[in-house]
Amino acid sequence: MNWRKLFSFAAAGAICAGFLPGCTSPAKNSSKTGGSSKVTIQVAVSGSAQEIAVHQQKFDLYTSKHPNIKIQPINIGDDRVQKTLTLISAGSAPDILYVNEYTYVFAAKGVLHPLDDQIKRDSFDISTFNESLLVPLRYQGKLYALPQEVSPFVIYYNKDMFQAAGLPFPTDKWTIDEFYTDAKKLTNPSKKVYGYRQPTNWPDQILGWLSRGGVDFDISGKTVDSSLNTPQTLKVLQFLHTMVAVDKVSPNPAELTAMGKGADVVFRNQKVAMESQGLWMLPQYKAEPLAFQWDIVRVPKDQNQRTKAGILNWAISTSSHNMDAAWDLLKFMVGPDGMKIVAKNNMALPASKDTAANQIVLDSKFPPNVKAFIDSVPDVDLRDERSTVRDQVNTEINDEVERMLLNKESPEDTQKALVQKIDAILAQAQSK
Amino acid sequence: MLKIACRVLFSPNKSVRTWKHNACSSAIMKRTANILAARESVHPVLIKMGRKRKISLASNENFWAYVFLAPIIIGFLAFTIFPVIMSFYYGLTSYDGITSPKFVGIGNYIELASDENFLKSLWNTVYFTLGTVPVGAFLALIVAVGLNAKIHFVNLYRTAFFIPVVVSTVAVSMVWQWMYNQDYGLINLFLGKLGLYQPPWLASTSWSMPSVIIMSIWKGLGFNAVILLAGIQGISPSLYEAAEIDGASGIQKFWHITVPMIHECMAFVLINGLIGSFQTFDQIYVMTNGGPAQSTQVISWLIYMNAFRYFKQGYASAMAYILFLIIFIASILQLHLSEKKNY
Repeated sequence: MNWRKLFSFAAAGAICAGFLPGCTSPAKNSSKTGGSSKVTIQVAVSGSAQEIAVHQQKFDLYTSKHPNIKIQPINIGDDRVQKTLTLISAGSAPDILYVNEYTYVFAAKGVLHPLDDQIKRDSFDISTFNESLLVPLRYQGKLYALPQEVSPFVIYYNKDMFQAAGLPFPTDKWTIDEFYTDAKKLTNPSKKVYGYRQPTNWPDQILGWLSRGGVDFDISGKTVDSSLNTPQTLKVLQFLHTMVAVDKVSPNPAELTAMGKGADVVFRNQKVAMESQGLWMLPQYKAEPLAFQWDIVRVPKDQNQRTKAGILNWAISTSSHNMDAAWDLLKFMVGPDGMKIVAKNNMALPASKDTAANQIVLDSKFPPNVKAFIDSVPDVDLRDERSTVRDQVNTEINDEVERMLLNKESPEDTQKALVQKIDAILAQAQSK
Repeated sequence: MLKIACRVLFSPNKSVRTWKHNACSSAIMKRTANILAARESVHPVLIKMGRKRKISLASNENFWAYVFLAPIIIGFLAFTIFPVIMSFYYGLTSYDGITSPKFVGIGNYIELASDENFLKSLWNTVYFTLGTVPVGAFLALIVAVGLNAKIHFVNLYRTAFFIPVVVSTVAVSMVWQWMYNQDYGLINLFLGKLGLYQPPWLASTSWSMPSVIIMSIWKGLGFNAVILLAGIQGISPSLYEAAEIDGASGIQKFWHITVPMIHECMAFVLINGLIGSFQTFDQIYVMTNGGPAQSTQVISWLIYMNAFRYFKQGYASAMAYILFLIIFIASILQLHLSEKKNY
């Protein structure tokens, strides 16, 4: 045999094989029942190394109790939707999906398996979850996911700056007027210090104010005329316009974007006295303590005290070959054992009312008013997640309100533009 | 004879080429047959063996050529050509990425014609390209002429100019973002010291795109300069000597010798720049995130959002094809314009 020929073939073959990783193949899951053979469950995970480590803790605890189950985490990175879509198209979607705010969309597209039968069969008590968190997980009456973590938005405030301005510390019952007066007093234009940071490119931070203003923003229907073409909406838009463009109590969107990563640390650098975040700042503030006294307080009350939240939901994909095993793992993760692990790691709240888990959070006493997070959960408003076009609508809201905050559009014109543009998007979605 | 043959062989006229091909091949075949017949009559066995070895040697080489070309061809077909064709198909459908596509014909393209966001992004992309490519190419030419000078440490300067090209776009964008800061940035600091106007740079809707353009020109300068430098070094010094004898000044030499002689290199720089600028994404999204107020929002971002956030892959594919057509037409025009000059 000609060795050169053999070598050439091998080399050419190796180069061809280099292209193979570009192709994916359907996941091969052992669907053998029986205690002796291992069943592999694939679970999509995402987030920072710390967050993935928390998920791994849950997996390890589960496999220690179920030795015949092997759990394979699939890291879907930061571009979660894109990666999930790719895996679904390739036919290798993990058994358990990391769906969060996309539950409704994925359910509407038939990607998720409804959980009602399993819940009924196992008499799984879903009353341990706040109804506010289950609202966006239902599609056409069926429940498609269960919540693991919730991170309600609260207001972080700089105690030192409040004291220096002679202002009393805010309480959980404070009103929007008290908030605004405080923010105004804390603003010092000559020193480029602001009372509050109204974030940009974060539509939930606009929707939060709308919700508190009594606007029942709902994009699950054909039009937003009934919810957005109201005096309440105009009042909220005028409030934001005054705060950012007129009184300049907050940096405007252009200034915030120009700051780049600097915008994330304006609270740490004492350039703003207050800002709105969830629990995700806690690990940072613990690892690198702030140079001043600070605490948290619930969002100020307008017509109500509703707030937005970050949320982690698990669902089972329709293409799973191990429905029962996946459901068992899901049940475990959102059950008392899983929730205790969430609580111990202090990065998000357990999504259930489980007393033991929530007590761990309260006992951490970090920050002092940590109960503000737990008290906010029943008031979490996620109703706008019930839509297949939420991202597109949110982009329009962000762009339109940004124009208003840069003083390029009046609140009245912004309101009209919002109704018109969102209705156009909803009409398109209906026609498909 | 050769000229005529070339003109015929490379004639754009298909019928001419076919006729000539047929005439050529039949003539060649006749001649080969004659030679073979003549040889066979002399040494039948030897000729047969010779023929076999000749054929197998030629086809042997061809075979191995194909084997080694195979991986790249297969890869190109599978990962470039096939997706391009499928993308054209998806552009004619309404496809959310999960459920099967629904054929809508040119519905997507009609919708695009009236889509405010698309038209605005298209304008921004064109603005960015017009700002970056011609100015960048001209500045690169000046730099290339400078780097061609026989001065000390010229290699150090060449390296210095090329470094921005190899540094990560994201890292460069973040540094420039800080430099552009209207209150604390280095640029406004210097402008202030010189008593000049300190623009709000990235915080203003009118200054944001120029800011991104300036940074992009700076980053691509080295690459273009190196290519143009190679072109300049290929110009015969006798031309410059002749011009000096005729009393031409430096600037005259530049405009009348350097610029015309490197028009092919320049064409490459311009087309390459055009293709790249139309697809730009990284530096814009780090520095301005498409803002403020969509003043720097470009097409590539819109395509991404439509495909992977709005679940409108059909619409995004149609957008991508329009982008492709624009770049294609612009490149063809550019090639045509630079081909006109023949020396």
